[in-house]
Amino acid sequence: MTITSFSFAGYVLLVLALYYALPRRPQNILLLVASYTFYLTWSWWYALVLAILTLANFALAGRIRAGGTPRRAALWAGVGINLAALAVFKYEDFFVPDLLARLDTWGVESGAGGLSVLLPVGMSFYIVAVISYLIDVYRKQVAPATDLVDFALYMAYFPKLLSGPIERARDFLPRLAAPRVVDNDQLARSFTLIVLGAVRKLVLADTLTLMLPRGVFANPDQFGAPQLIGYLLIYALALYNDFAGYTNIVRGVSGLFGIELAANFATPYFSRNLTEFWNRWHITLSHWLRDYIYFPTSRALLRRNPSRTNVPNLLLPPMLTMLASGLWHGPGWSMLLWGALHGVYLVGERLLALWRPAGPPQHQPRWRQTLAMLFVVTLVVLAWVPFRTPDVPRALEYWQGMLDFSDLRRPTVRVFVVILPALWLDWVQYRRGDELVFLRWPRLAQAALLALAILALFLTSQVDTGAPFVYQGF
Amino acid sequence: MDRTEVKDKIRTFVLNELIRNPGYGLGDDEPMITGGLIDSFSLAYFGVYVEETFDIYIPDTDLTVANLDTLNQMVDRVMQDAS
Repeated sequence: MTITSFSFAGYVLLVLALYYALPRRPQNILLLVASYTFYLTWSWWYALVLAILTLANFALAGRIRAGGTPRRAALWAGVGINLAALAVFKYEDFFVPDLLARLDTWGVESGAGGLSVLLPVGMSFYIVAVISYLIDVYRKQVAPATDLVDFALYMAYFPKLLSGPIERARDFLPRLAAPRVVDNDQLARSFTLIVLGAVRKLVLADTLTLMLPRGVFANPDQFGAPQLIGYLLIYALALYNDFAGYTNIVRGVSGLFGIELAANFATPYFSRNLTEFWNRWHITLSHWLRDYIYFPTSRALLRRNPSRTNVPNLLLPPMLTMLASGLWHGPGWSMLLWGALHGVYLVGERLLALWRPAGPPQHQPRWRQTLAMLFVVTLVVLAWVPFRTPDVPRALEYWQGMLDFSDLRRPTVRVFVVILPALWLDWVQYRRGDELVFLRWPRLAQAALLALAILALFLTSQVDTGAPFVYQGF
Repeated sequence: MDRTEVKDKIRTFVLNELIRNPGYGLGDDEPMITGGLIDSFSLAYFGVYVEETFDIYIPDTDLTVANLDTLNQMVDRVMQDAS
């Protein structure tokens, strides 16, 4: 059951009807049952893996809390079990063939191919969430959940199960216990998020994806530079609207149950530096990486040598953080290359900052801010090449092709019919610093925009792309 | 150590090490991170500085923009553990 299907809409309405017919305590039980039922529509196997990991982590958190037991050993066991599960399901294609080939060269008979197991959808998201929970319990930043239903719901809550947002237990668990107010304002916010998300995904992202010719990232040598540049820009916008659209929809749906989910995007392509970009793009993952990889690495290095100019202090934290981000996104050298590129960008930014006094970017002249945004977008878009191509040689070929202007074919200008509204949507949100700026518009303007959105959704619904959410693949 | 002394020390550290502009007129409640003056990654430096200067450990998960955006918030966080 996909998030944008009519069956999902019907399912949400059914769960809502039951939810509001129940008193408070059974509501969480209902949400848990609904979450597992939803997951079962994908695969019973996924649900089984989730249930096992839920029970294991619940028990381990209790061990970490318990006094007199080896807390650190329980933490490492928990982190190890979760990472091992991710390694088995997500990365076996990455390391198993290499390992088997190496065993063969050493004369060890492996007698097997890959493990051929299917990655449970959403696993990358709930694994990092639960690792942060175990670490926070160890650091006594959060009390371990004593209610298995609430904890299982933290792991499985269906609006965020497939692709996040990656919620921290210390934020999410109190929301499960807090009073849930769904008044007219909340309904308006939820409805607006759902419509915005549907427009971003179905009207913008899916239409832009349709405009990408088959094989452009697999066979870039068959395209000229104007095409490769144009299609890369289209991909950058499609990817953003796809994931931002998903997040809007699930936050809107969750709001209908009176449970807030964290925002994941804040007009990232209007960032004036790379650090700002990572505070605006996939925010919950960026902050997770910052809190559990960047800060500990950085602090450990600074304790050894507090100098800002010390080379390991400058290089290691951003590189390790972004390589981990690449690895999280998928197994393969091209994802590692994407992460390494962003690591290099961040190192470059820190090197520049060493001899340039800091200052608020918004105090700079408008033209400098605009130039900085264009520069950041260029770097980010160039880095999407290895993110999308199947391997590193194809990424290099793509970049090379972007410099070859012997073939001057270009993408159709019809693409602007979609690109301009996509940019306008972000511009309006960025200018007001409010993703729900439309709620402050006059009623007539709101009604006109809603009518336009419904018309666009209707028109695009005639073309079934069947395109899944990109981040569901991670 | 009283609040004024803590604030002076933190102000000097922020201006010299994070903003790298000792002459900047930093307001006590001026948002430094959301205002774009420093980035949130600088909070790692702040965390280590507080450890070494005041012998106070701030957990990584507390090094957040919400907790430490202004000079006064930084001072509050140190005073919270110092008291």
